[in-house]
Amino acid sequence: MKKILLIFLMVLSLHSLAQNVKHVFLYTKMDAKHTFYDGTKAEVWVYGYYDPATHQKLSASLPGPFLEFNVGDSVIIHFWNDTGEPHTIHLHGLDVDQPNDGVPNTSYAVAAFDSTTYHFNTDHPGNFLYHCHVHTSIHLQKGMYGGIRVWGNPNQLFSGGPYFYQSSDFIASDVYTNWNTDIFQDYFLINGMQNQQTGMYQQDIIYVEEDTSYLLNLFNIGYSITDFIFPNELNAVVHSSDGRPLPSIHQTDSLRIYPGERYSVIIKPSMYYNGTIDVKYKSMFEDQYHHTNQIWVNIFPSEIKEEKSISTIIYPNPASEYLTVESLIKDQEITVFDTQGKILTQLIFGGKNTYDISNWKPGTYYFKIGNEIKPIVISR
Amino acid sequence: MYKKLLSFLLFILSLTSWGQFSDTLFIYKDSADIRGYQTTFAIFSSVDSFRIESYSTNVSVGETINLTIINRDTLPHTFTVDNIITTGNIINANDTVTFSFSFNLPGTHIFYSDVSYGKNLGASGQILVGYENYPHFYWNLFDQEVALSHDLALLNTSAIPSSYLPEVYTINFNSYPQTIADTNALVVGNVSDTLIISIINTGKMAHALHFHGYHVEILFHSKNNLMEGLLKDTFPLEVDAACIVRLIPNQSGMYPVHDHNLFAVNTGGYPGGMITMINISP
Ligand SMILES: [Cu+2]
Ligand SMILES: [Cu+2]
Repeated sequence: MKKILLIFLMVLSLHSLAQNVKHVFLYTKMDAKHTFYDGTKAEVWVYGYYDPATHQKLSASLPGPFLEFNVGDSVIIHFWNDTGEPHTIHLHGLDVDQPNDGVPNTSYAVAAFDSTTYHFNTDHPGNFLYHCHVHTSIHLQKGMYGGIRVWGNPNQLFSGGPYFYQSSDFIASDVYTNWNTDIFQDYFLINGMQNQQTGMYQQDIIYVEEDTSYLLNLFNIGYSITDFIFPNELNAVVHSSDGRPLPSIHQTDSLRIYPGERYSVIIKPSMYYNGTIDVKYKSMFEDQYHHTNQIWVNIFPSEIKEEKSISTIIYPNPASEYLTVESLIKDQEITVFDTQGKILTQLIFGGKNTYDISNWKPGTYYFKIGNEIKPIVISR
Repeated sequence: MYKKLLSFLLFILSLTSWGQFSDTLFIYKDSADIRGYQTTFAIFSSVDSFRIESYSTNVSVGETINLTIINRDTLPHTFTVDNIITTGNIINANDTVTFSFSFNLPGTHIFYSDVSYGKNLGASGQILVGYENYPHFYWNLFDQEVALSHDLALLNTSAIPSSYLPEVYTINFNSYPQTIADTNALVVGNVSDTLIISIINTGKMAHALHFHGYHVEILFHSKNNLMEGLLKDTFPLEVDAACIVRLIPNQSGMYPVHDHNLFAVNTGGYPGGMITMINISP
């Protein structure tokens, strides 16, 4: 009898060793403010991280925190609904069991100021979503959503799948000022940003060396159909969708992603390219585009990378109002020429600085950084 | 004795007349209440009266289908199957016409009335070809703008305006929770069963279906063959798309399936509209 107990305990401990338990702490916020590209600050409902020790609320944002797990994780989401209305977390695409599905009428809603835990295992690498499923049409589009990435082997999309060097995640969504019956589409977002906002932060810009595989995880959690337009130079190949490998991969120059769908695309640029992946938004009701956002892409030749390991970057490119320069090298000298070779300005530079270029004439400018010359296009 | 033998022979004969499927459908136009929306429908009804129904059937590959259509509407209709029956298919008011046809590949197909007050008002159904050995479920996704439905029925208009904005979203012309009273819409089975769901979109806009609890394999997709073979939890049905998915449930429970265009889950209040359920026993 004792022996059986011992074996039982051993099996139990083996089981818990095999699974890596991951804890995530999320709270809800219904009076968050989101700043849109035109300066409008509007109320959004969002998820944020909190500190379990102090219950201190950390940043809450639209979209919510991007959750990352590994295949085989046993995940526990500690959900603290610190608002006056019921909310849930639906784990979109993770095929969780009924009690953890986050649907009020088949699972349960988390009452005002109550908390709960959601439990699930991550069986498949891929892109997933989480969102509130209480009166979804309101709560989701008010901002209660975020992305989930489940990783497989390091730098491999899935077992037996392609390898990649780096990756970025892009979540398309939209916001209607009148959420209930009015379909007037006010804002069209990529990672919560629109228009010039998408080129403002380095982490949202794709820097990739030529002949290097770069993974794009693409999500659509909006009301609109989104078309991701890939320039030919990027050699974009679709490898998986909804957390499952495609039976056959295919090259794409335009990938349509419907509300709730996710795709993984690997780009492997074969040549120098500076430009954008356009994200076009189309209503489900009518056959016309309402908006285009840009994902900025900078491909650099492999020699430069070896020499300088991207010590200085300039973005966005093309630029219109502002240009940000970041350099890891202290006292980096940067010379700016026009197309005639005339020196326009010289900067001694280190760290990160954003310049107002709204009075620069549209055209191509050359930034000489050490031995490297970077063309930057100003367009309006 | 002789009589008995004859009836036995006739019985055997009827059994061996496989390869033939026959049914009679009645076209009715009337209005129905969909969770508070008084909407006009035209319906291919399998009984001789108006009722909310999306006709569906399953035949074998190559099997001859004889469908007799009786038009109880006051206006002419057609019986149209794209690429199969497209001409000589008008059924005048109070007329009866029998159509015989077959399909030589597995798949699923929409039949409809190709007049402005036909498919636009719900005059459609589906024929699943093949997959005879599995339990089948049938979803006809449909959307309607209430005022437009009346205008189409009254011949005030024959076109769908670019400002089209439906209030009514349905599966088999029912809005959730009525959908789960429909044995074609509510998917019922056991863990490890192979369940076949035939889905058509006869509405005027695309729909993106999201499955809770499971991924399904897309076996057939008439509008997008890149979708075939994919394991998905969310996928689109473009206007007039017909597709077949296979669900092999790996867990028990009750899980929603719904359009992820969130306008579609509010018909008559949330949750309503284009939502159904999958109910799987251990
Ligand atoms: Cu909520
Ligand atoms: Cu969802």
